[in-house]
Amino acid sequence: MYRYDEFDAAFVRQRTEQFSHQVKRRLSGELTEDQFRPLRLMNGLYLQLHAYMLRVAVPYGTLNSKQMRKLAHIARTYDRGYGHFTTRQNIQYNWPKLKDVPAILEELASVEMHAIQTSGNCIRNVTTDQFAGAAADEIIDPRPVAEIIRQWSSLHPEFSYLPRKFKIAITGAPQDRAAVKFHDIGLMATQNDAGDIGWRVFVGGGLGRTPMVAKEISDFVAHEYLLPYLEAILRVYNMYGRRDNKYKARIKILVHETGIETIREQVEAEFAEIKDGVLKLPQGELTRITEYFAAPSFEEQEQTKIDIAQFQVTDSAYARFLQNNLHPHSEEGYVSLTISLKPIGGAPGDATDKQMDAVADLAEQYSFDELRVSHEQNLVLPHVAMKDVRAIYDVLVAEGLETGNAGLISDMIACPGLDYCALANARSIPVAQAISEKFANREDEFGELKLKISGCINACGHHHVGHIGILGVEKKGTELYQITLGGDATEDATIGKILGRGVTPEEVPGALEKLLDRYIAERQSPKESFLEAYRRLGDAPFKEALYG
Amino acid sequence: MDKMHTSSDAEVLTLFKDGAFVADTWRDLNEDEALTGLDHVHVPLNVYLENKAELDANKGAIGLALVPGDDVDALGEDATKFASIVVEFPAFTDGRGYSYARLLRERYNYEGELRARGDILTDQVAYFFRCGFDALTVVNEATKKALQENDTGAVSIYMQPVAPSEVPVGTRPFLRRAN
Repeated sequence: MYRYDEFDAAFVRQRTEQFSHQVKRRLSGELTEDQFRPLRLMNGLYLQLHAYMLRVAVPYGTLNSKQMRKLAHIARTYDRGYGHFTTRQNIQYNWPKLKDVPAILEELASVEMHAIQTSGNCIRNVTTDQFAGAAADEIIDPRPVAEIIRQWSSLHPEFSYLPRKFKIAITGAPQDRAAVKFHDIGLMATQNDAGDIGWRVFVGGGLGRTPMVAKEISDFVAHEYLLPYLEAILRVYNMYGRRDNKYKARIKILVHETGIETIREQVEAEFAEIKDGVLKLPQGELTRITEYFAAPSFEEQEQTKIDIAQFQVTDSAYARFLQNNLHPHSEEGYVSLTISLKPIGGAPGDATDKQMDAVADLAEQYSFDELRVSHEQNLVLPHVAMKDVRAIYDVLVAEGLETGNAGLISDMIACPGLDYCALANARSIPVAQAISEKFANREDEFGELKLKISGCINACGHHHVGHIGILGVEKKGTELYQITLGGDATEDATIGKILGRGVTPEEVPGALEKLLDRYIAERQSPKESFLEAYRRLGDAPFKEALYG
Repeated sequence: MDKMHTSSDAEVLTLFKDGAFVADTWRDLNEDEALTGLDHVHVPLNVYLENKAELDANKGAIGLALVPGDDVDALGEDATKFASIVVEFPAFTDGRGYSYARLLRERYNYEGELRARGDILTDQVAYFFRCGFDALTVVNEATKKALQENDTGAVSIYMQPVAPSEVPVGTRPFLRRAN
């Protein structure tokens, strides 16, 4: 993975000092909360319902064991013993004290981490496929380019006061696990006719109040021109994006109102001017960064497959884990292993300090010191030899991390909701817990199912792209939950459709049961997933099942 | 609060240039003012574009005033005719002016004075300079104090190249520091 040189270290140190100084001025009363607000928001510090919340960047979701141990240490020392991994592959601490924040940032800087641009109307942490550099279906490892984008966008002087926040996602595989078409800019690796690998560029995707699937603005941008191309998009957005209404300020609205053809013309005109300028990426730099992400020294493995069937009777929990939590690896005898942060009845994405330490140990011992955070709020050991899976599983059992539910209904995305968030209209976590408890014994039967829950229309829980999405709203002082079906965050990007009137919190699990029973009854075979069945059948049978 | 006779008083100097607050020799064009005989006056872009010949005929120094939403590309190479351009920042959150500055400097070869004016916070100062501004009109007291004490706490090394005047650092192609 990327390692800081002296320059990177000095950069983060200076930024940490700058922010520490700002915090001191706030604590001394020199800055009012109004004056401090824009400063703290540039550094991931939010004021939530009960306390400050600090969001720490995990660049493209990649961590080593030392960094994970530091995150555990921070949770233990400055918070209440846990952290929350987010859909943007970051980690949030929900209870830090303002006076401790400078110390936390210093601790982070000591392991090459920071909170730069995890909030504010700037370019946020670049996200990618959690299996990057490991997945069998990958065209190219997206991490070097993600790192190049991270550097280019860090404290960018022109793009730190954009109309609104700006999120970039990148995938190196045709099977999109990074939801790139739901980002302000999505990059998807592709090969042109000459056999060169470059990037398809999508612009104007997003969720929130106005969900939109991104439109393709270019079918091929070569590596060397990617930064000028991004700068051209950002400049057009910075100059023409709406600033009169924060709910219409994302680039998706600009693209929607102006039309992709006009935006493309503007971007191409800007790109033509700066294309061969100072941001053109020299091959030497690409090579240098790529070397940081060289594949680890894999060893030839005797064991090249895992026989799941033998455990189905004697150790069904382990069989489930093998069935659901392993992902094919490009190297024979290896897999990527998902550690679910969705225990039945737990808060999605939370990990305790002890669990983080345990996962760090596993990464060090079994995964070449590498860890990933997935946008589905799980942790991943990217490079695990098949022979080691059992030993890892046994440790996970001891830590309460063995849930074999990756990709199933209980592996849901849920925002923090009304329990923590100042924006929320309804609770998310209790609803998530009730659902996962309700279906704990049936989820294998349902197969692959993406359930996503948001506690308000800002859609942090990505409900628009859930195969089943749940949106909490507030009506006349009570919480009500709308159900959407058919959403899809992958390369087939689709926004789910609202099925009908909302249901009360208590009714949610029962409503899902009706929908899922109907799916089981209607599906052509157990191989037809809920999403496939929905696409074939449409709304009607599900409406009937729910509303009669 | 009569400030009419104290405009030269150091207390109310708002123009920061070359490391110090200095007297401002420029003023804005008044509404309905005649466009002849002007000297050291900032003229709005739309007024300039509609009265180019008349304004270009002035013997005195003419400046330009840009507000967010102005079309810098419509000005184009005419930018080089001006001795001073001021870009308005009505709210610190409105970052359009940063792009205008870069276009003026990097695309339209503007080399005169480039001012940022308005809601300027301490932490934006370095960004302004990096994008090509060389003067700031500041009213925010905290920002003035920080500038006076040369204590903006800015990060002085950069992860991306912007202005051509920034100095490369080491062997990585995109790293820069202040000149």
